[in-house]
Amino acid sequence: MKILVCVKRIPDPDESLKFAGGGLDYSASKWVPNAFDEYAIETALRLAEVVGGTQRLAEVIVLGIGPESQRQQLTQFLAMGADRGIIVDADPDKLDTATVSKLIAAVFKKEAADLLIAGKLSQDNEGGQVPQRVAGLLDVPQASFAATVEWDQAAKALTVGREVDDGVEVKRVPLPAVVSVDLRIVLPKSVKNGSTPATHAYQEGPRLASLKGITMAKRKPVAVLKPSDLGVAVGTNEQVVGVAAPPARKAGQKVKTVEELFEKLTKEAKVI
Amino acid sequence: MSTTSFSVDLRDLHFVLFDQLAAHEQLAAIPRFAELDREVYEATLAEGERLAREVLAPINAPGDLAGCSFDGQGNVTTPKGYREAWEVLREGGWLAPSAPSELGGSGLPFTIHVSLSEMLCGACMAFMMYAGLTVGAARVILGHGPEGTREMIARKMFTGEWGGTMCLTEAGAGSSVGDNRCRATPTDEPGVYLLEGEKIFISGGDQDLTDNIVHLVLARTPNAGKGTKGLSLFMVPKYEFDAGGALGARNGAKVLRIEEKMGIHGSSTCVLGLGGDLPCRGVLLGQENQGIELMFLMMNEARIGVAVQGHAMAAAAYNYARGYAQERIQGQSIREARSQDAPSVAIVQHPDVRRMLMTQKVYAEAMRSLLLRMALVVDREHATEDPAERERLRGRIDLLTPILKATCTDLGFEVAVGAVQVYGGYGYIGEYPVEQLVRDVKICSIYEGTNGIQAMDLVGRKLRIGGGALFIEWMQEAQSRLAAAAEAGLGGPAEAIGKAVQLLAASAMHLAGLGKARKVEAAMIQAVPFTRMFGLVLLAIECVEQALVAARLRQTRGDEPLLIGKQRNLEFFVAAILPQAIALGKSIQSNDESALDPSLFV
Repeated sequence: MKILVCVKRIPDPDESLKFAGGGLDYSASKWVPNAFDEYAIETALRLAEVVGGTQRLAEVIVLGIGPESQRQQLTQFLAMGADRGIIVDADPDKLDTATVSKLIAAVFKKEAADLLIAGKLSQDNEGGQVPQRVAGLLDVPQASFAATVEWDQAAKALTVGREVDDGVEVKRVPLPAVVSVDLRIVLPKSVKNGSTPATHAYQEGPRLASLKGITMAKRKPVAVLKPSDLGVAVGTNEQVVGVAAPPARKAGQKVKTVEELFEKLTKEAKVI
Repeated sequence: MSTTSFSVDLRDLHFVLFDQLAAHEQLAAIPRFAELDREVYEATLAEGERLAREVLAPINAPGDLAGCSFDGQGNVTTPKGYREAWEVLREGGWLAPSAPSELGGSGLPFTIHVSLSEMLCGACMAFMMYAGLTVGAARVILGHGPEGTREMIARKMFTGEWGGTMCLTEAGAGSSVGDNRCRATPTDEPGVYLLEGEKIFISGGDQDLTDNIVHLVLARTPNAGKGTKGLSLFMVPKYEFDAGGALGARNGAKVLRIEEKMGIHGSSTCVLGLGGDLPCRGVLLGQENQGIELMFLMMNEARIGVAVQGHAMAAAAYNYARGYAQERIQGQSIREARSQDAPSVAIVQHPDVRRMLMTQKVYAEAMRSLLLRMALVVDREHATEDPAERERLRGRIDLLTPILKATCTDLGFEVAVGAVQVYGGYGYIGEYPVEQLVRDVKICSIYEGTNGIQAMDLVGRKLRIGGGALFIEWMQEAQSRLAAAAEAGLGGPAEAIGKAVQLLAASAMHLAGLGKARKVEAAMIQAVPFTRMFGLVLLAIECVEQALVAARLRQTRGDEPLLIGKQRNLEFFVAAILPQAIALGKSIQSNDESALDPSLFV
């Protein structure tokens, strides 16, 4: 079994945004992995590892798309326990959602992977399209917004609990497949791989890397590919027209009577 | 950043390690660390920060409130959450970052260990004491433990399966460790003694984090001489064990009670009875009468460790205070004080709050720089194969260790008190985190040799080694660093600090003169002020170095606030703090002996 996990580096969402020249200024940004991608790697590792044993049920491959030199987030996932990495060296300004999806699908095919686990969206632009597009390009089943995953090893299938508006939908998907994960996938009992005792409670959240994992991460193989190696032409059909901070909120008005309020709501604001 | 959430200044750590000291390049020259690089170090720091914030910071205040409990039968229970945190650190290899990887450590440089300690101690100092003492004791055992089992024992300690303690103090024998009365009687078994006596103030004397505890105990063998030279060091386990580490019978080292303390409530401070209800077996480490010598082998690093604690608490306190000052809205801007409807502003706008924050910032950042520079010297000293170079580096460590210990712990306390002042009334109450820091950090100026002892060590021993050779060598280097700073355009501050260095040298000469004239008490009355002065001068030099690096980086990175801050640190230090060193220099040379008048304090 091969599990492919994507990682995107994003500007730290906890830092305030800086604007410059009609766009966002990232020059002093601290870059972090997209949190949903952290949930994805945690899911993959819980599926691959057998708690209490040394056996591994799957190879976990981390995929990053971006400049080859900016691989810190990919290394972080290797430190957490992924087996190897792949970087598709590309200029992020020349990538749109469609191109990124094509690149991921091409790597998936090249690796003959069985499962793509991706975050449900990236926190920077919240597109929420990539996993679905990849599933379409690959023509494989998908389960999005997964909150629970159970692996039926014998049947080569996953049972996925999806959080939808009116509750939890349970879906069974045969492998190969695409799964996008939501926040609750990292609760202590959300992932079951059929070998780790089903009663096992994981530490909540994406795991901390061990110091050994961090020092070993550098020794793990990372392949660097060009988009052309994958037969994908890089380009974007997206164009940023402008980015601006939302207008500051204006001060409110104090009214003395209900009548005055009513007057303002009907005549000035015209909301009733 | 919230007013009650712990944070780490990772950017400044990066600045010091990679921009200022080029630690990654210096360490790459050491064969043991050749495979490590900046990326590994950055990843380590990033994960360490998360560990501090997510695992340790949440147990800090609850552990302070609950404290340790004792069942009257020798067993201590640590606060809720400590066991789980110990497991997380144990599994991740964070308990002994710089211990050899083949023995269960993580094989990182001491410099990175110190960086991690800043974060982890800052998040929960009381908890980290269990780890620090265990690793310190393990190093002594690795060096001098029983042949055949020393590596097995050290591995169990480095991996956090077993804990460790240092048992020096007895009632009536604290700073005067030579007054130790614990007795060790040889048995028929070679190397095995029966111990009797009582040790006090034993941190981690019992806990529920590890399967076994290995105490290192100073005791006196029959017919041994008086004072420290008659002390021997023994390894005393809580449970006996065989060559494979399998646990056996309970040994007779048992906690009799735990102390109620001002702070570090999560760290058990125990009275340890030896040979009370059960015989207490101890294995001699090294030779008889070699005890103090063996203890002192790890004393420098232990004292640097305490300096790091002091700084860690300063850094934590400053970060809290800065966050609070940005969020807390109170009072109008002083410029608009006359206007009735001027808006209220965050207290960070008030000049006096800014002055307090500036003081805290300068101390926290300059101490970080000083400690990491020292840690690099320790790494190089461990690694070098050139005896002359090792001697030189060891001399530098010997000279500066007491200064760092005293300065960083005193300033750690002062910065924490300053943070309380920024919070105002809320700083004084337990709902906010800073009053705990004040209580926790106070112990740092007392244990591992009080700061008075550090000052006596500096003035009475370190300054006198080789007729002042260590000091002279340090001073020459300081002067050349200042000359380089002047050359690079920082002539004004470099000159001011150079004068302080001169005055420091004159003060040292003055104290040496008092010593020669046999006015030992008159000299020692100035030991603490001299140590303080030395510490301030060291910090001033760090400020110059940082400002130089920042000026260089601004040419490529532009006016980042961190870089501007380094220039301001230097200006502030020279204007507001350096004069304190000058005043101390005058006071040291004043020949004032009023405190020695025997008619006082009667």
